[in-house]
Amino acid sequence: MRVLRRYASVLLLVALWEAAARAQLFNPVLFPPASRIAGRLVALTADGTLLYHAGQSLGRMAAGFALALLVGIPLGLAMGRSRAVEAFFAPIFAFGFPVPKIGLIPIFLLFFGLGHGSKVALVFVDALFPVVLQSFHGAQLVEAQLVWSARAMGDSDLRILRRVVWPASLPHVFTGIRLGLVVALIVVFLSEMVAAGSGLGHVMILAARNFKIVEMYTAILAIGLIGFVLDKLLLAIRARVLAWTEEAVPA
Amino acid sequence: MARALAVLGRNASLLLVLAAWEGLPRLGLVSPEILPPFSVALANVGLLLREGELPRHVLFSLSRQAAGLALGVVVGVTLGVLMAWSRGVCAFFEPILTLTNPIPKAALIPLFMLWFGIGAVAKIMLIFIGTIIPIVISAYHGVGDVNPNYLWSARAMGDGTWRILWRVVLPAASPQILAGIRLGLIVSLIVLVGSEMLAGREGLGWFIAFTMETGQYDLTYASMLTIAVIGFAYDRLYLWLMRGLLAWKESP
Repeated sequence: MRVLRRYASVLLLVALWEAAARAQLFNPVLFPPASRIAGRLVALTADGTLLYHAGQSLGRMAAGFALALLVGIPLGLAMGRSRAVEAFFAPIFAFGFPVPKIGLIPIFLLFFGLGHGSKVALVFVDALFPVVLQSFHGAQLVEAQLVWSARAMGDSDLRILRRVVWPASLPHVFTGIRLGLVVALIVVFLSEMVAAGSGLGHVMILAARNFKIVEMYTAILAIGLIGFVLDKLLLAIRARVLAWTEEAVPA
Repeated sequence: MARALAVLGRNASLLLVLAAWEGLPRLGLVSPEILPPFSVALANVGLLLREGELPRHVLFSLSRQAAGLALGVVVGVTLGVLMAWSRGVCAFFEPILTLTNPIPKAALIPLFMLWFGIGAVAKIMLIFIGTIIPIVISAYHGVGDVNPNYLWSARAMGDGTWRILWRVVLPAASPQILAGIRLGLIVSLIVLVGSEMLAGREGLGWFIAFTMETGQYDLTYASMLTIAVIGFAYDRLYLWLMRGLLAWKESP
């Protein structure tokens, strides 16, 4: 009941959509009733079509995103703790961050082909930027007193990195992961729309071009649900991992 | 001379990337078909600029981007202020924003193609939708965080609501609002290029996709170089503007 009240405005909009579509206030081809879209979502999930394409998209995204975290977090932390590493890498990330990397998709297609490779590589490159920049920021902002105290107590550099710098940077690292996730989702579906033979992005653009409107809405709904669930999942993990800080619940 | 060397030294990694771009195809390690050397790409940019093909597409793209972003800023800041000031407005829009924020906006491209066609309107609306969410959220938090003492002082001195909004609330919230607009700016470029690649007959994104599909890879690289430089220059310009606008703050 509380959930219903909290999302009252959303329910109202969906109800308006349903009513307007049933009354055929707008072009009925472009605005099918919400209930029909939901019905098709259930049907396409049940027969496995949506699950297959969602699996393709998520697999590509997960591979690229995992690579971005694996490379980006250590690199960002190293940039934050070492002047030399920062001096070398900072210009690349300062230059590349605002560049719309989706525009560079031809490079990825030429080098990695039309299959999984180009999408994984593009997700990796695009998600890498926010992950590196936030980890860098976090490691840079670690209070010097904390490091000095640890050193005064005789901790080695490695131990300081593991026990002081890493936990102190974690809130920023999570911000980077969340921003990276948003980017990774955008990029994987966009690249599937531009060139792919499978994945939800491909399903969506194909449906739009063939005027299968309900199918297109279904794919959009599925993508929206995926984005929403992944974001909630990440916030839940964040709240658990950062339970010891004041920043466990983000704004 | 020493200063020039210092600048080069500071950007060693970027130069290394450019050197690799130039060297790999020249040495035959990568086929120049797939990766034309940097100097060739640069020369092609010059050629396209002179022939008038590139400026036209850049102008198309940037005018749509500017229109969409401007719409996003005006509506977004207004909505953010209203949400911070009125519980009713907040109760209505907050759940909508929470639900729609994590949806990848690229998913809306086909939908907007159907609703608004493949011309400028669809792109402007997409950019508007993509940019408004970070801007609303930042304006909402920015206005909500304004020290209430400021408001009370202004009211005690007899200022009206509009004056308080203009002279107290917006300046105090400006760092967060401007940071939100920067996020919107970056999103707008992604959405713009993506949507142009998928539909339409003009714009930088279309030009990139078109030259790629017709196998004119040297032109593809030239246009990709252009979009990279535009993205970087745009962001730098915005940061410079932002610093200017926030110069009156003690620590921007």
